[in-house]
Amino acid sequence: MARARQQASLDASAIAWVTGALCATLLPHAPYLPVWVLPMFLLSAGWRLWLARKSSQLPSRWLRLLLAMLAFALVYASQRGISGVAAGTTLLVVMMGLKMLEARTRRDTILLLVLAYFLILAAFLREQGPMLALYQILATWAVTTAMLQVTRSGTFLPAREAAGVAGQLMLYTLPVTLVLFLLFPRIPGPFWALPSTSGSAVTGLSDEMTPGTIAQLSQSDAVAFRVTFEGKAPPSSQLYWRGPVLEKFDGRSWSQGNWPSPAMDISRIDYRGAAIRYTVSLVPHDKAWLLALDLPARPLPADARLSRRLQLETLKPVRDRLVYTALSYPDYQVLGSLSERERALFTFLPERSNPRSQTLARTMRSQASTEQAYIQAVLNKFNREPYVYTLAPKRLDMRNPSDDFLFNTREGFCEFYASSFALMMRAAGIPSRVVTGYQGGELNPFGDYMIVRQSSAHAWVEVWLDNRGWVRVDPTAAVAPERIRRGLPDSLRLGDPLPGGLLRSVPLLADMRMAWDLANARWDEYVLGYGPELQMDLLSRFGLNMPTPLQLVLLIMSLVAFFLLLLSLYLARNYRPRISDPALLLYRDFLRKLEKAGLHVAVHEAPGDLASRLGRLRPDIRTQVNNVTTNYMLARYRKTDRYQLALEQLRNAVRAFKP
Amino acid sequence: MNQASSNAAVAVDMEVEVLHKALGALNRIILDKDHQLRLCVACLLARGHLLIEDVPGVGKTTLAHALARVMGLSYQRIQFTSDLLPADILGTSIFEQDSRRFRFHKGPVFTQLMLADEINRATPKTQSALLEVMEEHQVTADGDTYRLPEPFFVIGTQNPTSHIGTFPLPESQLDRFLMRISLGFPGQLLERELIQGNDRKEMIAQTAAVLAPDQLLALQKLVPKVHVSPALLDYLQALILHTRRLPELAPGLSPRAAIALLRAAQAWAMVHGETAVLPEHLQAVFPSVAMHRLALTDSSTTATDFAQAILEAVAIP
Repeated sequence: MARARQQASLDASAIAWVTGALCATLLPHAPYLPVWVLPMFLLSAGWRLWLARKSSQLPSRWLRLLLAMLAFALVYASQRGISGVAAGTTLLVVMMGLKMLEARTRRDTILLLVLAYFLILAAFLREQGPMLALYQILATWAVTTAMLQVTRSGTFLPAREAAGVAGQLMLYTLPVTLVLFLLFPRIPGPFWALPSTSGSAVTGLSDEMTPGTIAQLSQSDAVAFRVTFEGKAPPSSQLYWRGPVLEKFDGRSWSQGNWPSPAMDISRIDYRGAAIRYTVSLVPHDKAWLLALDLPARPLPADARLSRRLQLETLKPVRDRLVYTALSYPDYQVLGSLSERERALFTFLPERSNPRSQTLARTMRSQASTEQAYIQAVLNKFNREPYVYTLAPKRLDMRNPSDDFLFNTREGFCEFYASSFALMMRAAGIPSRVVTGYQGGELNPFGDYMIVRQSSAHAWVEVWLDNRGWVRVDPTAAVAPERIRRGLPDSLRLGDPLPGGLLRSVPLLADMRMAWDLANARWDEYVLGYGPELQMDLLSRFGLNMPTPLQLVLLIMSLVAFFLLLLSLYLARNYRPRISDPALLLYRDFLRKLEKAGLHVAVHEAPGDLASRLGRLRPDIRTQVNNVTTNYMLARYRKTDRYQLALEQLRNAVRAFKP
Repeated sequence: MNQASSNAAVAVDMEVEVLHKALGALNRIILDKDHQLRLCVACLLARGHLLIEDVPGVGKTTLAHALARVMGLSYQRIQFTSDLLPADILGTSIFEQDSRRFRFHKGPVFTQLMLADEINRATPKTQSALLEVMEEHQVTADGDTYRLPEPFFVIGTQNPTSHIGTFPLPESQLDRFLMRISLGFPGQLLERELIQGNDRKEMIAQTAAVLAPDQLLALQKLVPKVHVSPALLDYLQALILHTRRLPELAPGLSPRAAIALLRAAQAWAMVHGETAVLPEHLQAVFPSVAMHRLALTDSSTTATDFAQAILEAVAIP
């Protein structure tokens, strides 16, 4: 009979619950799925719902098989295989839709909901932000509610009540969740090798720069890294975050060049003045360099070295969020001189490229008495002549882009100026190179840290002066001094597209944006960044220094057991039917005394029957037992005006009772 | 209310004597069946009807006859056969030459205690005619309604259902009987006394009535006034709920069955001279009241065993 009920076909509301829960878990995947997947899922879910409403037959086995094979082929074709996060989730979603069409028993709905839990987990393979985490908690709630409904024997609860129970269940699991999160043994690096999400390039600086590269990057509002300074943040004019240094110029673009860059001999650098100490939390950019203030000194961040280019380089590309502490001196000098080979490298220009620029440079150099005067003259040219700083410059003639820029369009973003300036330096025989990185940053008033976004991407020039080493020259400062002093938004031409748009200009929204960034930063730091170091740090605060994984596992097991015990005690206390009748409580005391004396009482044994049985079994206590029983039955079952008296007598009888 | 029920308590105290006497008289005729006799009397007091299911020869008829005699009730016996028609029980309208009119001749059902012997031998049509009368306490013929005498008590007997040539009563009609009991064989010692002793028919004829029908009616009116505490109702509901949760007993006991249980327990309490229903009273009547209302899907366990299992599974709250 029970089996027959279980096998009965599912009703429409069970299907509706499952569909709703599945839709909730699908939402975070939606942007990544091929366009046809979601409509197909909704179509099969809707079809199933319609069939349930009409209590019609489900589609035949052959039709379902055909659909499944078709769907598999579609997924295989559109994803070029079935491995990887994208293809895997696509296949899962499609097949879940089809599974709806053969969901016939309660077991099927449970299976679908377990798969929904899996989908919730799978979304974290793509993204691990706090917003998604929050949403997935809600999705888990929805799935748990649906699970509760379909596994109920009998009718469904009202939605609100079911959600309440599910929420309660999730709250009960919270301590265990926290224990597992905090104590599960962490291993350095990612927990498992995430399959690379193909095709989606990481935004950030690259090792090549053509006019337009940085302007495009400036459109992105994404965070490049966050910095916490020890002490006060330095002024904006010192905030040159040094990234890749580009030394090779082919007439159009600057690149790192493929020659080796050995470690810099740090003793050649004369650091001066006060140091700035800060901690950077770097968003993974998939490149083998770190960002640091110009110019980092020892101690360098772990696993990093300062190359001859004065660039902080790592052995492996940064694929996980990385936190490092660095020390920089804004004032420094590289001692010594360039070798002939280096001088040749840093003054190299393709002969035929940008002829007008080269000619102009030579003319201006001959008019200037010193290198310094020449540099100043070029900067003055940018400053005095009608050059415009803009994010949306006219397109350049790519055969001789610098010529086109300097003589015709005269408008551009920082890389235009940096590129042309470095070219003019090289043409005049002054060694020079382009440095890319970030300039400036926004202080977050809520968290006392600085956010550096991709929109702060910048390019500037370094020239080698014989008695001063590498000297930073920022031609952008000559064109648009505000860019350096106050940041990008204030320095752009009217009508230029501005990253962040409205978010920057409305004060309340700007505050919210900062608060949200703080939340993100803390999430990165404490949740995603909860690795072996933080874990050991936390444990040592509780007196556990460097526990072995075995110790951790034992700790987890005992804590989980402790919380489960606590929870079951709480539930037992809560769910025991409340006894409001003191007579019954007293009678229970009596029964306990009997049990202790080895006289077993069955749960269903009526008081009268018990009394006569005991009377036969133990004539010595017959009177006492009868006394208790009579008063108990009087208080609990009989109609009496003297309830209190009966209760009092019962209490005395039970107290006096000694079997 | 309080006054009325304490009056009732006094009345019960007085009538308990009478009931004890009645039971004493019955016990002299039917040997070794005290529990069943008490159930019989309780059933009568609760205004229910009684179904006795047993093999022939264990004293079903004797019991019915003795009960009628002791309780001072008029008695009719109908042997149910497969050709018995409803009119054979209820009565028929006959054309009378003298008055040149149809006149209703009351059937054997117009009595206070009716023994419907081997009820499952009759066709369903006849069975349902009887069951209708049991429910309504009246007969309608040719547009006229004839009330049955009060008290009206039917004892149906049936052979175990597997016997050939029977029409087993459907569950919905079994429900009309408040209790179902079986007598079973007497113990060795008492059976010997039974064999050696006087003829039962003679004994019945010599037995005097202990109660008058008026007294019985008064007692019947007191049954619903026997006190039922909330604690006892908790227990009753726990028992009912348990039967609904057992897959073997689907769909479990109905609210009507719950009321029947309560009435039977109240009558049982009265038979035992109690002014309130105690858990043991409920337990005592439970197998007889509940089991024939539950469709046992598994035929290997007997109803009695099952009833005991249910009782043992439910803790007294």
